[in-house]
Amino acid sequence: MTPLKNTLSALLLLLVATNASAQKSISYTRQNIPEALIVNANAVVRLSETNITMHSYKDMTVKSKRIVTILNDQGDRYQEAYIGYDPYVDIEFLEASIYDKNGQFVKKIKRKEFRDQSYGDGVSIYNDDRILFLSYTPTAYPYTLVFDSEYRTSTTAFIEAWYPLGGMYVSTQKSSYSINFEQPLPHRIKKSNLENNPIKDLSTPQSVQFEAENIAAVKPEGFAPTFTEMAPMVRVALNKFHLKGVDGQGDTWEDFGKWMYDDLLMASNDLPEASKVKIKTLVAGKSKMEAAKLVYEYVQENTRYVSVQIGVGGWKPMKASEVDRLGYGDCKALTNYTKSLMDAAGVASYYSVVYAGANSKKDIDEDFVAMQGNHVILAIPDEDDKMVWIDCTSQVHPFGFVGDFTDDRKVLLVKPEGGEIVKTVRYDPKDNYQKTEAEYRLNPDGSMTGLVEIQTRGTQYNDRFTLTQRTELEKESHYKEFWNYLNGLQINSIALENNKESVVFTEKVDVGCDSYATNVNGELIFCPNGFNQITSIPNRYRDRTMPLKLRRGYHDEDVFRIHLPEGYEIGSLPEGVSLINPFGKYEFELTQNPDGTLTYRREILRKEGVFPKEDYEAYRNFMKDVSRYDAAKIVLKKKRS
Amino acid sequence: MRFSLVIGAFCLAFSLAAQTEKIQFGVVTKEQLLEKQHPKDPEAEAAILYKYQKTYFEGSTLTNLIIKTEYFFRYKIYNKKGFDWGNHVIPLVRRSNNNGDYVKTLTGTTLTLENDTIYADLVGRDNVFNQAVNSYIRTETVTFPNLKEGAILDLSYTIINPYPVSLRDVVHQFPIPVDRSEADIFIPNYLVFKAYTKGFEDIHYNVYNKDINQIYEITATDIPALKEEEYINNIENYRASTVFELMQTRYPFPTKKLGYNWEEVTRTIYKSDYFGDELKKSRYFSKDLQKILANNYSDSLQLAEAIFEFVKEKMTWNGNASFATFQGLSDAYDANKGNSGEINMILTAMFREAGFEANPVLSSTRDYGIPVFPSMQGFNYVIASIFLNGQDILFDATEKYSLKNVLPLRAINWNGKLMRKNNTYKEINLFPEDLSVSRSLLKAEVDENGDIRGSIENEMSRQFMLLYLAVKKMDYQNDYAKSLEDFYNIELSELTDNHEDKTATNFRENYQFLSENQADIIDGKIYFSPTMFLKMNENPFKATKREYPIDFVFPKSEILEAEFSIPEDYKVTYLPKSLHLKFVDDLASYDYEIKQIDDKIFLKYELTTKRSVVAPTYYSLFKAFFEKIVNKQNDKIIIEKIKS
Repeated sequence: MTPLKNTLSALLLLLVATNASAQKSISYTRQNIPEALIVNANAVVRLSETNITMHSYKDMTVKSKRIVTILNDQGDRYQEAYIGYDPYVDIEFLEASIYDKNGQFVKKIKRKEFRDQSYGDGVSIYNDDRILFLSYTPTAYPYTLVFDSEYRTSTTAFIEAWYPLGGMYVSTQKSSYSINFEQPLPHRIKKSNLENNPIKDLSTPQSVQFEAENIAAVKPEGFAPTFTEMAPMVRVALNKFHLKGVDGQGDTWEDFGKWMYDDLLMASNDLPEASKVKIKTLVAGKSKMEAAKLVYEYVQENTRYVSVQIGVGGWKPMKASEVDRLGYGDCKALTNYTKSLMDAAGVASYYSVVYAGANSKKDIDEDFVAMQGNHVILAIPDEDDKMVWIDCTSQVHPFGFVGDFTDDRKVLLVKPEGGEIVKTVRYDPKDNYQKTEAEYRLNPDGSMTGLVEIQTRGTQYNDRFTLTQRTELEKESHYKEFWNYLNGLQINSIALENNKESVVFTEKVDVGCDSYATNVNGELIFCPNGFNQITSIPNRYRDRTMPLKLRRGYHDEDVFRIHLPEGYEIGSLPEGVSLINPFGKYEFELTQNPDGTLTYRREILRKEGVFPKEDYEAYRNFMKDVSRYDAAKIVLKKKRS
Repeated sequence: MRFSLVIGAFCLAFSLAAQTEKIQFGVVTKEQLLEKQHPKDPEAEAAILYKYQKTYFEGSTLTNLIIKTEYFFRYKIYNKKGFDWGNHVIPLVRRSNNNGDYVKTLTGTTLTLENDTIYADLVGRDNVFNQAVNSYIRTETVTFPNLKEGAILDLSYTIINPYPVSLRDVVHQFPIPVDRSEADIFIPNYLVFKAYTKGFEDIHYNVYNKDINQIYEITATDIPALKEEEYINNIENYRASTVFELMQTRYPFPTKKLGYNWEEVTRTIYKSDYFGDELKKSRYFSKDLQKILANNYSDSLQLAEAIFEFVKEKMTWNGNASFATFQGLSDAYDANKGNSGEINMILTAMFREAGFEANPVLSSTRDYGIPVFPSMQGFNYVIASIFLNGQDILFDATEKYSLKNVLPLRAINWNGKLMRKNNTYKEINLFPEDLSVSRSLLKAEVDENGDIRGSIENEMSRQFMLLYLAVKKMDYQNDYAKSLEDFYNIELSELTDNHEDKTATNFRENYQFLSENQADIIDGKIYFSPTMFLKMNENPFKATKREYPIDFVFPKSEILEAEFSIPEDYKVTYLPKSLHLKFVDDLASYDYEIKQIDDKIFLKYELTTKRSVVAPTYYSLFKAFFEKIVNKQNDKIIIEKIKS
C-alpha cells in the first residue's frame, strides 16, 4: 500500500469516526428552545425540511427531515415518524434517532423496526394504502426525535403540501419547503393564511421555496374555525400529472373536469341493455323529476355501500355493469351507476366531487385546480336548471335531500364538456326547523303526564329521521338523553312518521315523569319549558384569540299547554322576554287561558356566520340568558279553601 | 353469476350433519325468504338462522399437524340496517413466508325472492377481499352480491390452520339472534382437550368416542342477541361460547401434560424460563437496591414503599399488557421500560432481594376479560405482592401514581393468582376492599342576586386519587382549571393542589369559585340547591331492564360538607328535609342532613356504594335509589328578605 493510499484511508476512517461521534449528540436541547415556543406547546418542531424534486410529470422524489422535541406525553402524537405508501411508491430511506433533553444520543431506529400496517380509513373493506410508522415509547421527557425519509413515486397528482404549523399545541421553530423542477413543468401554487405569520416566499421561476421561523403554538377554542380553515399552508399542483398509472391534466377546472370525464368516468358507463330496458319501463310516462326520483329509489332499494379502494380505483369508479351485477359499490361506483341509470331514463345528471362532512363545510378550492374532495354525489338539473342533489350511498335519504353531510359548499361538477364549480344546496337557518307542541298535566304530587309532538325539517330532520331504524330500547334511551334534565322520565309510547315527500319528520311521544315539580314548603315549583331546554353554555375564554364561528343555524318554535293540578293556583309566573341580536333571536311568553290552563310559547332563531373574536363574549352572554330563561320556574300555591 | 332456482336444481348443495332437519346450502323456501321479522326478536335487523362448524385435525406428527375447520353460516337479512351482515369478515393469523392460516373452498350465495321466483347470486372471486391488516393479522372479507331486504345468505368455507397453537373458541352468540348453533369438534386421541362454557345461555354437549377421535357435539338454540349495557366490565365475559383448552399430548406425540388446574398452570408458568428463572436474577439491580437499603428504614413497609417508588420512577410502561418477559428483566431494566410483566417482576425480584416474602400475582386486565378456565391464555398481566404483618399487599408499578393496594383500573378485574416459590398458589381478590373517598368541603356565600361565591377543598383518596391524577396528568397546558370551569359552569381562581407531592397519600385541591345563574329568583325569594354545581344531575341508570352485572369498579364514598351564609337582611324560609336511605343487603347508603344554626346553613351528605360488582337483580332498586338521590340533590333552600 502506498503512503498516499494510507493517508486516504486514514482520512476516510477519520470521516467515518466524526460521523459516528456526530451521531452522539445534537444541538437541539430543551434549553435552547425560545420560551415563546413553549407556551401552549406539548411539542416543538425544531426543524422541518421538505425537499421535493420533480424529475418529470410522472416522477418525483420527496426528501424530508423532521426534528421534533416532545415536551410531555401529550406531545407524543407529534412524533409523526411515518410514511404512507402504495404500490406506486418506493421508499428509498427511512430512519429515526432519539436524543435526550440535552441532545445526547439515545438510540437509532432502523426501517425494520417501523411498523407496517394497512392504512385503514375506517370504511373500506379493502384499500391498498399502507403506512410504515414508528411508535416510540419514551422513558423520559423532554426528548428529541430526528426522522429522515425519502421516497420516490410516479403519482404526482398529490404533491405533499406545506403546513408550517403542524396542529394544535405544537409550535415550530423552523420549517422550510422546496420544490425543484429538473425540467420546466407548468404548475400552480396556492397559498392560504400566510398573512400574519413569519413566512418568507423565496420562490424563483425554477423553484418553489418557502421558509418559516418561530410560529407559536395555538390552543383550541370552541365555536371557532377548524384548524385547517386557519392554518397557513402552501400547495402546488402540476398542470399535467400522473395518478397511479394514469396520466391526467388540467390547468382550468374545465380541462380538469374534461379529463376526469374522459379518462375516469366514460369507461365505467356501461350499463347492460337489460337494465336499461328495466329502467325505461320503470319511468315510462313520468315527468323528468318523477323519473329521477324513481331511479334514485331504485338504487336505494337495490344497492348498498361497500368501499373498496385499489390503485386508480381510489379515483375511478367501478363499472356500472359491475354495480348492477353485485348490488354494491363505493360513493364513486354508486354515483356513476345512478348516473348511468339516469342516462337510460333520459334524465341528465352530473357526477360531482365534494368534501363531505357535517362539522365543516369545506369547499373544493376554486383557485386551485387539482385532485380534491373525499366524496361524490350526483346533481340533477331540474326544469329551471337548478341542481337537485342526491347522495347515492344512502339507502334512506329522501330524494333531493343531502342533509348536513354535503350541503352549502362548492363542488366540482363533471360534465361531458368539462368541469364546473358550483355550490350545493344551502339550508337557511329558517329551514332547519323544529316545532314542538306539547300538552301536559301536572298532578298535586308533582308528577306529570303529557303528549309531545315534534316536527323537524332541514338539518334537524337529518338529525332525527334515522330514529325509525332503531330498536324500541334505543329509541327510549334517545329520549331519555334528549330530555336528560327530566329526572325519572318514563317513555310510554313512541310513534314516528317519516314523510319523505315533504321531508318532514314527526315524533309523537307519550311521556310521564314522577317528579316533574318539586314540592318546596308546600308550594310546587316547576319549569314550564319541559321539552326544549338549552342547558349548555359556551365555554368562557379569558383571552379569546379566534373568531366566533356559528356553523349551522336553526329555528325552533315551541307551544306547550299546561294543565295545573287540582287545588293549586298560580303563585308566581316568570315574565316573558324577547331578545334580538346579531346572533339571532329568542323569546318566550306565558299566558293564562280562560279554562285555567297555561300556554308557554317559545321561539329561538340561531343564525350562522363568522364574527370577530370580540363578539364571542356577547354570544356567550346570549346563550347564558337563553339557558336561564329556559330554566325559569313557575310557583304554584295551594288554593285557600 | 345468477340462477333462478327450481327445487333440487342447485348443484352445489351439500348436506350438513345437522341432527334435526337437514339444512342444505342454497336450499330455502319462499316462506323463509318472505319472513319479515325475527319471530322471537322482532327488532333484529338480521339473524343467524344457522351456524355450523366442524373442526378436525390432520397429520400424525407434531411438525405436520394442521387443524381444519369447516364453517357454514346462514344469515337472514330483515332490513337495510342488517346489510352490514352482508360483509362477512374472516380474521386470520398471518405469519411470515405465507404459512399462516388460509381459507379454502369458499362458496357463498345470496338468495332472494323476486316475482315469486327464488334467485341465487353466487359470491365470485371478485367479491372476496384479502387485506393484510398488520404483521400478525389479515382478513378476508366476503361481500355478498345483490343484497335485498329479506335475503338469505349462505356461506361455507374452510379455514386451515397449519401451525395450531390452540383451538379457536366456538362462538354461539352475536349482536344478532342465533336460531341454531352447532359444532362437531373431532379431537384425536393423541390430544386431550377440555371444554368450558362461557356466558349465561344453555349449551348442550354430547361427547363420545369414535375411531381415534373424541367427538364433541355441541348444540345451542335460540341464543338472544348480545347487547352492550352501561356500567359493564367487559361484554366478552358474557358472550355464549365454548372454549377449549389443550390439556395433554399423548403417543405418538411426546407425552406431555399441559395443565389441568390452576395449580399446574401456575406451576408451568412459574417454571418457564421467561418467568420463574427471570425472577431469580438480581445482579442487574443490586447496586440500585443497595442505595435504597443504605437508608436503613426502620419500618419494613417504608422500605417496601421506597422500592416501589424507585421502580415506578425508573420504569416506564410501554403500554403492553403481558405476563411474560420479552426482553428479559435485565434488558428491560437497562432500557428503563417494559411491559406489565417485566416491570412488576422487577419489582417482585427487588422485594425478594430486600428480604420480603414477595410473590408475583398473575391476572388479566379488564379489556382482556375474565379467564373461564385454568390456562396460560387466561392471563395477560402481573402484579407484585408482599406478605407483611399477616397481610398481602399489592403493588403495580406500571402507573406513576398508583399506591400500595391501589391498582390502576385496568388491573382491577376479578381474582389474581398469587404464585409462591414452592409452586403453590392462592387466589387473591383484585377488587379493592377499602372504600375510596372523595370529600368536598364547601364554604359559600349567597348574595342578593343569587350569585354564590366561596371556596372548595376536595380531597380524594385511593382510586379517586388515581383517577384524578390520570386526568390531571394530561393537563400540561393548564387546561384542567379551564375544564373544571367549563364542566361546572363556574368562574374559578386560585387553584392549588398537592400533586407535586409524591409522598401524599391523598390528593388535595383548593379553589375559589363564583357561580352565577344557579339560583332562581322568584318574587324576591331566592331558591338555590345547596349541592350547587356538585349535584348529580341525572340518574346514571336510565334503561328499564338489565341483563348483566353492574360494575361499580370500586367501593366508594362521596361526601359533601357545605356551609352557607346568606345576606344579612335575609332569612331562611325553607330548608329541604333531611333524607336517609339504606339500600338492601347493605350495598349502598345515602345520608342527607341539613340544618340551620344561627344565620348559617350546614349540609352534609354522603353517598356510599360498598361493592365493586353487583348482580343485575338489584338493578331496578339501584335505579330507584339514584332517582331519589337526584331529586334530593335538586331540592332547594329558599331565602327571603326580612320585611322591615
